[in-house]
Amino acid sequence: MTAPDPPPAITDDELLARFMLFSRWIREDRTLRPDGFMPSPNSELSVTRQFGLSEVALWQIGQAVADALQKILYGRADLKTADVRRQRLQVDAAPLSENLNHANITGWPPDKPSQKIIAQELAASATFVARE
Amino acid sequence: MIIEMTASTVLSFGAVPTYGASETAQFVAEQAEQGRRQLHASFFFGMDGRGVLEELYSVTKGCLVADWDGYGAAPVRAEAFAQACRFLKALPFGVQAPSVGAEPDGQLTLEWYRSPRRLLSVSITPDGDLHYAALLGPNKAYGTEAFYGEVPRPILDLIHRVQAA
Repeated sequence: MTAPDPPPAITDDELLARFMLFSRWIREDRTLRPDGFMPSPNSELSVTRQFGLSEVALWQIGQAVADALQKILYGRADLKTADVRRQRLQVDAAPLSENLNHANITGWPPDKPSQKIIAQELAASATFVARE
Repeated sequence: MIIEMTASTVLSFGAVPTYGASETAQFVAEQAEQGRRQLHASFFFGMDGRGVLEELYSVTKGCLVADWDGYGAAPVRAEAFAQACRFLKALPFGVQAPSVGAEPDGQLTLEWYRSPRRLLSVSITPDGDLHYAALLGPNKAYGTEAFYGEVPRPILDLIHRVQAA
């Protein structure tokens, strides 16, 4: 993998990938359930920036994430950064040694119903790409 | 004494309340409750027959340990499972079966879905709070209701709005 290091600033047109690690996050019609877009208890949603990555390299990262968590990689949700920001959320670059393209979606409201409606909006705007 | 209970009878009146203390009243109440249970377990009218309770059990079982999602998720507690069971059983006949999920804070979710922009999701806490959110085309509805054994009217209305063509 020889992708260039992604710049810290994330532009509106950057695509983000949320790896789908549970089959129940994907409906039969290949749309996505909002459950897969709810923030973790520390109010972050982990994603991978697609900047500079080939399809092969992106799937390699996804598989590594799934392997590390001992899950199955069912596919990924492609999200536009602009769609995330439209929900008044931030996308923060958070490179990891094993994934320099890692980022967190932050700025979630504290109350659960507001989080749920945002997760529904993100799920509706995302595109599912199945793992071949 | 034989009292015939038809589906329409039970559907019209649901479980007959036990206002009378007489043997007849008690018998009618028992029969109605039995009929309601049978209908609830049937494919067309209830949730049980559609496998929702099995799905609920399966999802819960997979989320009983902390960090079940690998991102620090809280475990689903038995109390949340019990509340979700009660909620499902409180749904009126004829309501479309929801699908079941779990969220990183350990709450179980029930989803009624027609399209990505026409859906309702209800999160059930161990304490019986119901956090709901619905997209209805360009409109949104979200909030929290307490669950006291009956499905709160705002949530029931949203289920019907999602189901409506």
